[in-house]
Amino acid sequence: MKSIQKKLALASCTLLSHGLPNTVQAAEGEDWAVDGSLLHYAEEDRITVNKFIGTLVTNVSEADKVKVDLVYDTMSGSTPSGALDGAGSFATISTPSGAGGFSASSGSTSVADFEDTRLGVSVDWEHTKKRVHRINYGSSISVEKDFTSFGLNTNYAQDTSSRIVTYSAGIAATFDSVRRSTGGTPEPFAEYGQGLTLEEGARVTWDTIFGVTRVLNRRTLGQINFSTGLNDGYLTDPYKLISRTVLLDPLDPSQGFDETATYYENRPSSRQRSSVYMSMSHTTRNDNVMHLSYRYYWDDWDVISNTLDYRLKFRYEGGFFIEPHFRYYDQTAANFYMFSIPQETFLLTGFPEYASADYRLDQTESTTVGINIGKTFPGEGKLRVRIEQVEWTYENSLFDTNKALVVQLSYKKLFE
Amino acid sequence: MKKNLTIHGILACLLLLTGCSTMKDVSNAVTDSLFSYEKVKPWQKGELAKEDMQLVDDGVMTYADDHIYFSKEAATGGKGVGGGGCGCN
Repeated sequence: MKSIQKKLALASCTLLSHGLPNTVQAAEGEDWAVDGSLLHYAEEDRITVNKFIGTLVTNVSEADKVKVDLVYDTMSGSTPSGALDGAGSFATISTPSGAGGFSASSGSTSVADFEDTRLGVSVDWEHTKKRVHRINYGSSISVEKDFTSFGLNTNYAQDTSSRIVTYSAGIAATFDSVRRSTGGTPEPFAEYGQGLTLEEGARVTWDTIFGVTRVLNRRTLGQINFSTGLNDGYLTDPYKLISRTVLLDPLDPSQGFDETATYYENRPSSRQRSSVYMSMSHTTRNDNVMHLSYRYYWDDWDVISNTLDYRLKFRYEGGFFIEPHFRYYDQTAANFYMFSIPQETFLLTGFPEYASADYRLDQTESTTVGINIGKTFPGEGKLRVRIEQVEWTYENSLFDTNKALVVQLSYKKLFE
Repeated sequence: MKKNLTIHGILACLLLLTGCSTMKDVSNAVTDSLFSYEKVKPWQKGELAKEDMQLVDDGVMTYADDHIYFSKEAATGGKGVGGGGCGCN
């Protein structure tokens, strides 16, 4: 009887929990749920990340839940700096042993060595009132050797009387401090290894979201969110570089170029971002579960992006499941992205107002193919392992492709 | 041209990933119930209440993906607000 009551309660609460991914998810009617995960992320000849994620959800009363998340990352390897590998005469950043952060790699400015750790903790409290109102308060802190972040957020969700539709809204503020591992931030457009070192960069991010979740039929849920946000402050990457280049033959660009100088990049100090996100989950006639989502994103850096995500979970007897996954992503380049600063332009007009050669601001396409395999233990927990390959293709960057392998092992345990 | 190839690649991958029987399943879903509206009674929400049907059905997997793509791509957000920051982008 108790079990039936819990399931009915869960059925009622589930609708509420769909609208806000950041809200505390139902602990399947149990008093405690612990979810632990180990992730290995490895790019070809680039960055390797090992990540631990731990989540604890507990019902502290009939109407209140608390969720605690813990994340610990170790990151190492190398990443493109934005500079072109044409001159080995530039001074390299010397990083104290074990200090973390970036340093120029093997005398080349085009790739920067990278080593850091990250610890993140977030706490969410969710209160349900009269079964149809739910409010969530959250806070988070994240610390790296060259980055600190502190965030606050609140979300509200309300069901209609029929409990077929949930309306939701949320707001979040995040306060970040950015610095190089050696301290401070470089003067914008200062020549690499020279120029003033300024104080650490600070930025504030405001995010808002409005969503509607609807039961379409007894086997389908749909959701649409509109999000908009503003980054304000230091948005430049203190490690990224951009080269000044001159064509070897001005009449024949195909002859290539020579790098004449390397500078620290410079980005605008604000960014207005918006997106529309649509998501759907559906149980098919064969009792498989399909998840489909699409996001259209745009910002005032002229980045426009499409993201399509598709998963289909094949469920078998004994709680086993196999879930293929496919994701497609594309984006246009930011309006200040440049492969390099042309010498001719530089001599005529000097530096542009803003310029970055960060490959992440280039025109990009990406595909992800993967599979998630697992077993559900009813009332006890869930074990799953997934393997995915992600591939990015960049239109203009010096390193025009990147591939990554993702392996994640997770186990969720429920307690009475 | 490149865009067309990508779209064709997507469709090919979807076919490979889901298999013919699943495509039939999906086809049925699209034509039969995926976008159809139905006044669902409380006692008809059993399937919807399952964890698999939650729009975010695996929190740690979603969290990991969000972090990966946030660190590598210019677009972000859409699912919610809040959560820890990251110096990776």
